[in-house]
Amino acid sequence: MKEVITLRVNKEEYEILVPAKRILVHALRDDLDLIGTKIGCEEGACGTCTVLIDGKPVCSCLMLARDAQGHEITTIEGLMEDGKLHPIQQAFIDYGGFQCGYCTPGVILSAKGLLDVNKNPTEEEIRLAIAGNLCRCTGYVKIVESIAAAAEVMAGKT
Amino acid sequence: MKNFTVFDPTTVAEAVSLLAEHKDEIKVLAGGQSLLVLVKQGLVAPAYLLNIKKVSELKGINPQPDGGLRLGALTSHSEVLNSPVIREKYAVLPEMAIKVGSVQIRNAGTLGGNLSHSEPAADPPPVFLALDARVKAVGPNGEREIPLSEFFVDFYETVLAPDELLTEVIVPPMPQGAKGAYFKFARKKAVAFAMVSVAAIVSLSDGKINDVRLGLGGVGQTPLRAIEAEEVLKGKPLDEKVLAEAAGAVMSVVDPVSDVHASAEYKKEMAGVFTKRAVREAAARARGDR
Repeated sequence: MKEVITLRVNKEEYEILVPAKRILVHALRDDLDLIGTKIGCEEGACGTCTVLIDGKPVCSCLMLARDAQGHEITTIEGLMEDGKLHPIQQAFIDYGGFQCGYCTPGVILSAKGLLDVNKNPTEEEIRLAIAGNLCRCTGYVKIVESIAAAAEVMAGKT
Repeated sequence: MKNFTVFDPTTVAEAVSLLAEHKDEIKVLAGGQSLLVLVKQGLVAPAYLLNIKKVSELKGINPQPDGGLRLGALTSHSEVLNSPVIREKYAVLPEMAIKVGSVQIRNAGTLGGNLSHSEPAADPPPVFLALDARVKAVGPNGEREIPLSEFFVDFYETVLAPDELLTEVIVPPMPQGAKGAYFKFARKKAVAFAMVSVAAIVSLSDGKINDVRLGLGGVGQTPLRAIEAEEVLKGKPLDEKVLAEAAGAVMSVVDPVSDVHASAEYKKEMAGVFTKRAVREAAARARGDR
């Protein structure tokens, strides 16, 4: 049996007809064509499907789409403003914060979850914030540098 | 994955009557961080899910007049980590909460869900055992309080009846002057279950151990309270001899299983080592050394 659910994603409302078992990441990718959110382990261990729910990082593979109703969902597609990349996205380009790029959307959303509440994080705090995001290219040094650089831009220091 | 029907009750009474109606065919969905994995892997295939996230009675961190604390079943690990009230009275709880999964899992996962899931290597059980916590369960015939030390039965099994819902975690006040410590031994700093974890709550009096409570995780079919080791420590001055005796008492009650992370023998040894470390650290904190 299917039901109509309403999801608010990147400040836009979508109505979709889905079975109760539809997992959020599949609704985002298959029903809404928002394929920036990637699928990895599908059990909460790799973080590549990370989205923000009311500003907080969660694994979209461990949430029913119907349970995301009434919440503000942010995916990587929602970060650009006025045609400009978000400072975190720009920093990942400027500081080489990715190799294959598969973990990048999830890592950037985890970073946003951190930087929105902590303007001046230590390296330890950055590493803790992305501890739930696996990078199989193992390029964590550049990722941490990118996030630290983005923090400075967002705080208006550079 | 088989489809299911989801109920969205808004009161505990409504939730419990749905549990009573569908008993073995229904599973409670809170944060979903454990249940949805099992459902996706086909290890459980419930016909119905009881989504309790709209039950407002299950939310809230409430300090009690006796100095204790009541935590609603839907309290997330992030809320435990960030609550000023908890940090002030029970610093060992955020020390534990930051070791649960990852930011993502802490934001979604709940205390009630974690305890009800009865994963023996999870982080919250040993700490709440050492805090001498109880849980409140509500069923069709009313409510009862269950000491956490009597709650866990086996891997993924608790004393909760199919029509009972865990609604609250009740934490008594810390003993006078007591401090806690939580040590987790795992291969990774995040998204890892404990090979061994030990929570210790210690108070001192005249240089001797006055009160002590030990909770252990990862060392058997259930998390456990190490009463025998507590008895060894009580009333004694804290020295290496008594710590070794306590570690021996712990090693004689734990029954870990070998897995990809370590052999049972190694985990048993580490249960002793980490018991010593946790007791030493809690005692140092109780003395005000740190």
